[in-house]
Amino acid sequence: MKLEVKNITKSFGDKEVLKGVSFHVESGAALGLLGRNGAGKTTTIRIIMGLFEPNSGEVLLDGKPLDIREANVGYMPEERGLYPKKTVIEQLAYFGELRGMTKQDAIKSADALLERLDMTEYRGAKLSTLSKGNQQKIQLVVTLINDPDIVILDEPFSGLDPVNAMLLKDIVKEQIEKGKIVIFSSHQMNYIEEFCNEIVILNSGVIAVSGAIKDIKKSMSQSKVLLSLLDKGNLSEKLNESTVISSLEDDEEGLVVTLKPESSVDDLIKVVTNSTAKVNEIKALEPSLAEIFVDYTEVDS
Amino acid sequence: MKQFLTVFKFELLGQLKNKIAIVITAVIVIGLALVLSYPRFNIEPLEDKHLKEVALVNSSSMSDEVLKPAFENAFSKEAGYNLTFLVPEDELKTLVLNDEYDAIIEIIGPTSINYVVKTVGLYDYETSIASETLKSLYQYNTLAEMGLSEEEVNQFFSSNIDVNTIVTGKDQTTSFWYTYVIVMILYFVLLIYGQFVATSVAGEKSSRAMEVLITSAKPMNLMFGKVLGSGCAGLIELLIILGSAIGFYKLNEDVITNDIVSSVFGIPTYVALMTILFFILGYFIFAFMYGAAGSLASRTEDISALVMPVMVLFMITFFVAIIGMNNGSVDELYFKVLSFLPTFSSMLMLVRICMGEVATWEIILSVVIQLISILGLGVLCSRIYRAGILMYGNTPKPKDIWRIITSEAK
Repeated sequence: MKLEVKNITKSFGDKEVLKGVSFHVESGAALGLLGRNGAGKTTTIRIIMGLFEPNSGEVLLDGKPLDIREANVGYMPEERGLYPKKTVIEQLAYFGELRGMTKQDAIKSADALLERLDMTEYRGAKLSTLSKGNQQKIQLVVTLINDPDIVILDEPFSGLDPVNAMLLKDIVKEQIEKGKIVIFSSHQMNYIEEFCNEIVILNSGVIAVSGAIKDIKKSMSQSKVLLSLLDKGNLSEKLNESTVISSLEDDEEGLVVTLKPESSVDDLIKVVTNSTAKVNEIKALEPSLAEIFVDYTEVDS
Repeated sequence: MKQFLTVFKFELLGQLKNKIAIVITAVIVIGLALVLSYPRFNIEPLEDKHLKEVALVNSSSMSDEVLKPAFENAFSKEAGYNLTFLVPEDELKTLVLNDEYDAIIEIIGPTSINYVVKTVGLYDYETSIASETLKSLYQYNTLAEMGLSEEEVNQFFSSNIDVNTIVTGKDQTTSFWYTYVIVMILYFVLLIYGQFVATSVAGEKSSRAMEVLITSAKPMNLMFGKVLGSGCAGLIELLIILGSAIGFYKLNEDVITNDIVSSVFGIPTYVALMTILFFILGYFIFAFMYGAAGSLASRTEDISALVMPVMVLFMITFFVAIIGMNNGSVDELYFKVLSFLPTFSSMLMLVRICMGEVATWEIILSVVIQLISILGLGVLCSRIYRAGILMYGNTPKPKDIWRIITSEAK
C-alpha cells in the first residue's frame, strides 16, 4: 500500500497554515513528521484523517482518494481523550465495535493489547481513575484495536515516562515489521532517528526537507568536517586565508570546519597539508537529527 | 446500520445505568406510591380528629330552642367542630385568649353576630357558617311571621335550577387537569433529556473523545444513535413512572376521592396514545436542537449559554400552552397557527387534541411537518456536530454558527 499526500494547502481565515505539502509512505515504513510548534504537523495529520478539508491537493491511498472510514486506519489524536466515566474495557469494546468488529473480537483484541501494554489490572477501572500516562496507553489500545493497516500517531511520546516510551517504541517497531504504514509526529528526535526511514520536516507550512534520514545526513555531512589535531600550527590562519571554509570553531576534540558549498573535502586537505599542523584524524561530521531539525527550522521568517 | 446500532446501544445503556436518572426515577415512583396510597392511610376514626372548639353565646332576644338545633346542625362533629353553649358573660375575650375555645360566636340580634377569635386565618369558614345559619333562621322566621306554613317555606328554600349541559365538543372541565399534567410532564421530561443530550455531546468534546469517534464512525450515525438512544432510555423511564402511577392508582382507586386525580387517570386511551406520539416527536425536535447546541460548546461550562436560545423557545411554547389552556383560547386562531410550527407542535397540538376541536387532517399534517423537521434538524445537527468538533476555545458567535451551517451545506 502507498499513502500519498499531494500538494495540500490549507488556510484558516487569512492564515495560510499549509502551503503545498507533499510526501508519501509505503507499507512497512515509518514516516516521521517533524516541525516546530505551529509548523502544520497536526493540521497535516487532521487533513489525512479527513477532519479538515484541504483547500487544494489530495490524499491518496494506492492512487485513490483515501476514505478514512473505509480504509483501516488507527488514529491517536494529539488531543487525547476518551470517556472518563466509563470503564476501560467498556469503551475499548465500543470503539472496536464502531470500527466494525464484533463485540467478542473487540474484547479479545483489547485484552491482548492490554496484556501487551501491562495494563490488564486496569481492565475494569474507570478511565478517569488512571494516571495520564496510563490513559495514553489506553488511547494506544483504541488506536490499534482493529489491527489497522495505517497507524497515525500525533505526538505519541509526549507525556510518557522512559519505560513506557520504550514500550511504545517497541510497539511501533512491531507495527512497521508487520508491514503497516506508520506516520507519526514527534519532538523526540532520538525516537524518530531510531526507526523512521523517512522524515519530513515542516517549517511554517512548507516542507523544509524530506527524504530518507541517511540521505539527508549524508548531504549535510559533506559540509562539516572535524579536524583532530596533534599540533595546531598555523592551520587556523591558513584556513581563514583560504576560500574553502565558511566558518571555524574550536571544539574539545579539535577544529570543526564548515565548508563552503562549492568546496570539497579535497580542497580542505590541500590547505591542511600546506599548513604546519600535525593531523591525527580527519572526519566528516554527521549531524544529529536534532541539528538537522534546528538547521532547517531556525531560519524562520 | 451496525454502527448506528452500536452507538444506540451504548447511549441507551449508558443512560439507563446513569445513577442520577435511576435515583430520579426511583424518587418519583416512591413519591407516586406515597401520594396515591395516602388516602388509604388517612381514613381515621372521627374521635381522633382534632375538633375545633367553638362556643355559642346567645345575647339576643331569640330563643335558645330555635338557635341551638340550627347551630348544632351547622357546627357538627362531622364538619370538625365541637360546639358548646355558654351563658352570656363579659369576659369572652379571655376565654379565647386562654385557649379554652378556638372561636366564640355571640348572637347579638337576629341579624348580627360578634365573632371572637385569636387570629383570623386565610381560610376562616366559621364566620360564614355562622352568618349563613343565622341568615336562614332569620329568613325562616320572617317568612313564617308573614304567614307562610313551614312546608311552604321549605319548598321556597329548596327550589333548585336544573342545569343540563349538552357538550358538543370537548368538556374542558374534565380534560383540563389531565392536559395540565401531560403538559407539565412533557415540559420536564423534554427539558431534562434535552439537557442530557447536550451534556453528553459537549462531554465528548471536552473529554476530547470526539476526534477518535468522528474518525471511526459517521457523524450521522453518532448523532442519531445518541439522540435515539437517550430518547429510548427516557421513554423507558417515563413508561416505568407512568406504569407505576397507573398501578398505584388502580390499587387505591376505591379510596381516592380527589376529582383532579380522577381526571388525570381518566385520560381516554386515544389521548394517551397521542401523548406518547407527540412526546416522541417533541423529544426529537428538541433533542436535536440541544445536540447542536452541545456540539458548539467546547467545555461543559459553555452549555448553559448555548442552550439558552433553545430553552427560551421551549419555555415560550410551554407558557403559550398553559396560558391558552387557562383562558380557554385553545381553539383560537393564534393557537391553531402556532400548533403547526414544528417547535410548538409537540405541546400545542397535543393541548388542542386534549381540550379543543381538531380535525384528523390537522393532526396528520402536524405530524408530517414534525417528521420533516426532525429529519431536517437531524441532518443540520449532524453537520454542526461534525463541524463543531474541532472548534475549541471561544463560544461561537451567531455569525460563526451561520458560517458552519452554510459552508458545510455545499
